[in-house]
Amino acid sequence: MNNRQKITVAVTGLNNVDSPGSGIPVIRGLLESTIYDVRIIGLSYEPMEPGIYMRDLVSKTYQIPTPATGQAALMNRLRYIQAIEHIDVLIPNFDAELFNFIKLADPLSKELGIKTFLPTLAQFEERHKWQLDEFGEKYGIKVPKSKKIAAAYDIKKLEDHFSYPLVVKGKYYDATIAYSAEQAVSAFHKIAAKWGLPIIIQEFTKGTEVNVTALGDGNGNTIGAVAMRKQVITDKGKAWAGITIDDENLLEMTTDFIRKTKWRGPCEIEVIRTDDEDYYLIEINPRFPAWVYLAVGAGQNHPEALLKLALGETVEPFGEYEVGKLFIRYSYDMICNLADFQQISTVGEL
Amino acid sequence: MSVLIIGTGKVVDSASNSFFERIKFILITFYVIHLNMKIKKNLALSDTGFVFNPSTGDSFSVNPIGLEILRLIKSSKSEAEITQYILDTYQTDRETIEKDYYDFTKMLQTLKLAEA
Repeated sequence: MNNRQKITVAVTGLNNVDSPGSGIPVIRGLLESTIYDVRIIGLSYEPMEPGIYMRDLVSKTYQIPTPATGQAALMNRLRYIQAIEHIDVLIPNFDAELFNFIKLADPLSKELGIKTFLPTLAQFEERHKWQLDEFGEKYGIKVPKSKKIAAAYDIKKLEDHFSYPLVVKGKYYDATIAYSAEQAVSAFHKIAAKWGLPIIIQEFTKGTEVNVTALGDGNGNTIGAVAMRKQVITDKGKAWAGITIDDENLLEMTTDFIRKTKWRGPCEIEVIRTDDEDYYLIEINPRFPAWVYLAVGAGQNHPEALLKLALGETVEPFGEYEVGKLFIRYSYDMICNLADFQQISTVGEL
Repeated sequence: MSVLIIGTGKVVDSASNSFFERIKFILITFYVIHLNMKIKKNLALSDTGFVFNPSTGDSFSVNPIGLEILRLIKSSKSEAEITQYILDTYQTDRETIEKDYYDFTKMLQTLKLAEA
């Protein structure tokens, strides 16, 4: 382990809360690397993100401007951070920040020497929830019917096309099953207030939700893919426990998706498997999921493989993984000092 | 297809709490005999009666006789062999076995652990 290459990696998504970002699981994978001796720099948006205070995992954290602030402010902040920390690779973990990081990938690499390994802008854009229909048609993947809307009164207009229950989804996060127009309108306002417009109305597909965390090399090859079924689901629909499964159809669907799109970087494929063994793609998240550490535990260290890809090294695809491996999430109270909270709140670094 | 069954079988959700809704237990008192059906090839059976379907992630628990029967079926024992084994090993009558076997095999099919 002492011969490992020293490397500094910046990671976002330190909000290890009940609806967690994937920063901490990604960091755990990186710290278990057998190739790299990784020092972690956390990038946070809020002073209450738990990862900031996990000093055994995160060496130092810097606040960065929220995505809405724009690319120039983000780049300026990263210039400041890079002058101190000499970051080699940056791994963003939020959907909402990805647009900015994709746009900045080139200047980050050329000006600051910070490598990333992200989807292309075209890949990022075409898999948006609000155009899943077109995406499914283009790549020959079954998807539930979906429409984007910008006003609550559009829900009534869609009643000729959708029957209840239907799913009301936010553009980045949140989804609610609505059993009536009233419930759909209520969900529309609630989600729109939090995540903005558009809102996506999606046909409800009955079945079991199965997910895959995967990594594409950008040339159509799947470097790794691990399938999981949620065992315990929170009221926000997040997995609180899950188990790796060996679902050949699901894994084939994933490799097919990566081959056809030439997907670059990490992704999470969310699928509904019906009782008739049909598979409907409901979402593609262009980043690691919060349960990615299960892949590490099952024998595929996707975060480590991502580092290799970002550094331009050759990466051999993983073989199999251990089926029947479980993750069980838990909550844990950290005791933190006011001085630390004050430091990150006012100075923006800790 | 001749059938012998002993006991009853049913599937019960262990709790209505959503935290546990995925975990199901097969509660079976006595058991079966013949199955002219195929158990899923990759089904994992542990010595403690834990049954795991790696394709779906479903897990179940069966009692010792249930486990015995599943293993006999999985090892491709014929209907006659399994029937004879049960008759030799357990005290029961054919009528009871037939009734319960029907329930059990239907359950295996419903849970996609076996194919007719």
